[in-house]
Amino acid sequence: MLLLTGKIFIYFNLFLVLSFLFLHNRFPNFFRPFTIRLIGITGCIPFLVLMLGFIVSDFTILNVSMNSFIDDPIFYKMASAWGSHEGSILLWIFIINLYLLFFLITNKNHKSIIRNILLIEVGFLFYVILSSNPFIYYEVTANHQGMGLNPVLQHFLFVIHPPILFLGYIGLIIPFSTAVYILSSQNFDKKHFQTILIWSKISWFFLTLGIVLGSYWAYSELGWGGWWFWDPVENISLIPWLLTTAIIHSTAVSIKKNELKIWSLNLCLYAFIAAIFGTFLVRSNLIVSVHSFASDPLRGMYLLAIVAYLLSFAVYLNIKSVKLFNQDKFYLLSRESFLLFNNIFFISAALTVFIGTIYPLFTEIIYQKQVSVGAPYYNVTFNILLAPAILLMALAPQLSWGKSTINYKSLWATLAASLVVGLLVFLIWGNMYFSLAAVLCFPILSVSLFTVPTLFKAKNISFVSQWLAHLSIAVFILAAVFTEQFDKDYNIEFSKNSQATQSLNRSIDITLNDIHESSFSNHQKIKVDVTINKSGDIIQLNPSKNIYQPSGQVTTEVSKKNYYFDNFYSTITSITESNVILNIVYKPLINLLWLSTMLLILGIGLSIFRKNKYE
Amino acid sequence: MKFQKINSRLKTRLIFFIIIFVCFSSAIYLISYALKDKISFFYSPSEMQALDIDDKQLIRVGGLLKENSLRLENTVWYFDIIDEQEISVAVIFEKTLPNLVEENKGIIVEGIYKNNILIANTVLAKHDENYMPQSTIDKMKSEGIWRGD
Repeated sequence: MLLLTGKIFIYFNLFLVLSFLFLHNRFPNFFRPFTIRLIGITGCIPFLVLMLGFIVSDFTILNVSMNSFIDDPIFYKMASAWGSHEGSILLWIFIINLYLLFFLITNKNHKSIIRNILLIEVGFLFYVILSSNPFIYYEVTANHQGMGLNPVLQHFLFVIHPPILFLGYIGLIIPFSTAVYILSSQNFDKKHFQTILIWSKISWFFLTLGIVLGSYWAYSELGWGGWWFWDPVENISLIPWLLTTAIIHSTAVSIKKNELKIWSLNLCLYAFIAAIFGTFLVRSNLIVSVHSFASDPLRGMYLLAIVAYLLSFAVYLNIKSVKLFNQDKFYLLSRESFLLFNNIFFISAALTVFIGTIYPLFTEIIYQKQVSVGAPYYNVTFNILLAPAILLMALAPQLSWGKSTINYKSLWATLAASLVVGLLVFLIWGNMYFSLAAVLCFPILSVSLFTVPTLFKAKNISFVSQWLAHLSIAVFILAAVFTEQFDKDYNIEFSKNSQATQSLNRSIDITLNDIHESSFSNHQKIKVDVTINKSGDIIQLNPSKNIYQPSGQVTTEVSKKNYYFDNFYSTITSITESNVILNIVYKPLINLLWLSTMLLILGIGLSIFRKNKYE
Repeated sequence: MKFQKINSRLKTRLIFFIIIFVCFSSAIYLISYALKDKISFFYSPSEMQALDIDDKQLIRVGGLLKENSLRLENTVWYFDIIDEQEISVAVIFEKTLPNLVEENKGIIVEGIYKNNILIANTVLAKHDENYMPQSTIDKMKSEGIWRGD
């Protein structure tokens, strides 16, 4: 029943979208906002039907059979709807339609932009129908309870991370569609740029949140490479993020100074294409990733076709607008020129990530040699390229639009002070990377401190959001470098039947308290209770091993506890008849890192609600 | 007067171009430098035997975890990675092995190769939606609940 409903609505939605695309010029009266709303609603239904199928465990749907277990908790059942490739593409379509419906609220009569959105949606609808249809009938045998969701995915972040990240990627569809409209109609009205700015901010918000949640999940799960691993799946989310950051900064110039317009529009085109291209890279399994998806070359080919389809739009519009290039004129020492510099750095950084991600493909095709590009590559390219951008971040908000002046005295004083701070940091901690980070971040920190009074006087929330975002980046860099440079790793062996205390170093003692087993609806748990005594403070840790039904698969569950801004991270290496071996990692300041990302997200969130001062 | 204005605009534009040029060319220089020296090579055990590997360079080795080779001594894991040519590499790893690592299953390890032993700093665990260890699949097959393939 659900199977049929889902199928019918996919085709019905496709029918409506196609009839809109072909007929909206001939019968403009028929395609009023009501009809478009109907398109949006019918586009949302197939995913909701699939989710309902998971909730009621309708195993006649193949996808439900393969990815769900009858006794899974209800939240995981719902989330299983995007646990598989087919379901996640259906979620993709659901979100496109969600954005369409929200876009209709603010821009009722903008048929050209809506047409562009539907032109993209139609590509994904064909994708689902031709290669990734989850609504396939499955002959249920007696006592069939489902194959079960992969236990490794059973984590609360699995419930929220994928939809939020998708909201971020697909949010770029509206800037893309608007940019296509502006470039093809040559109607450079300010209000369209405002549409771009607000929707790319919404997308930026979700993208940042999605990336941070993914990063936290990878940190919480063993063997996923910690909070950032430069894995292809992580990289392909970073590229649209960097480009969206560039869009936000350049669109501000487009609106305020009527410049960098073609530049901003091109960023909108390529940011969305980058998001889709990234999906293609990981879904086709062309590139080896830890966070991989089930592979199927055919799926990859279809996605590549969609990328080519979007790219053809972009290239056509580039050729069409080539004569409009190079008309901008502005002063070197002005806020707009510094925003341009920000763009250049961010685009170069995105470029290095892109090249690093696809380089293994090249070597495999050309030299028949497999390589993998990891942290050492990005430490050289990405970090060095963004370092000057961090320094400019302190200076740029101080400049005014148009012709600006600099107080050279305080500029040199700040630079000198940051060098002194860097030297002091080096003397205290003896670590070169951390002192370099301190040199880079000190200007932002000091500027942020000096502008605290302005924070309370500011009439516009935009200053607050900018202040928060820039400060959070500085804090993030300091925390990230510190946690990577000063983390510690311990292996401890306990005999199982005795309560024993061992010393890790002068200030940390660890005691084994108890080992016990317990049963849950779909798994059994063996839990080890230990306490850490860090200079008098007691921290409880209980790492465990889970044995899942129906597969019998064993997973190692991490137990983390915070100690102020630090984090203790423990796992059971092995557990035998006689002894237990634990691995304990001490991650200093990692919570400051999470806190700074929350500040960044808050800053971005605030900027969405700013008063529109450009009108 | 007019000439001067054009001249200063030209100057500003020239400076912009220089900055853009410097930025992009340094990006390209850094990329080419890093791609030459900073990537880790991905080997199979038999490829490793044929090559002389620098013991300072980070490498990745992929293959199957050899049957009956996984053991734990004094909090350190020892195991072998084997490939189709039946050539294996010994690996030691000091941390907790991630989920889904099992004998006779694919494994990817990153580390430094020294005195014929790969000292691993990372063992990677893949996790796609369908991925399950072979023993789990076998168990499900024997119980008649396996529906894959």
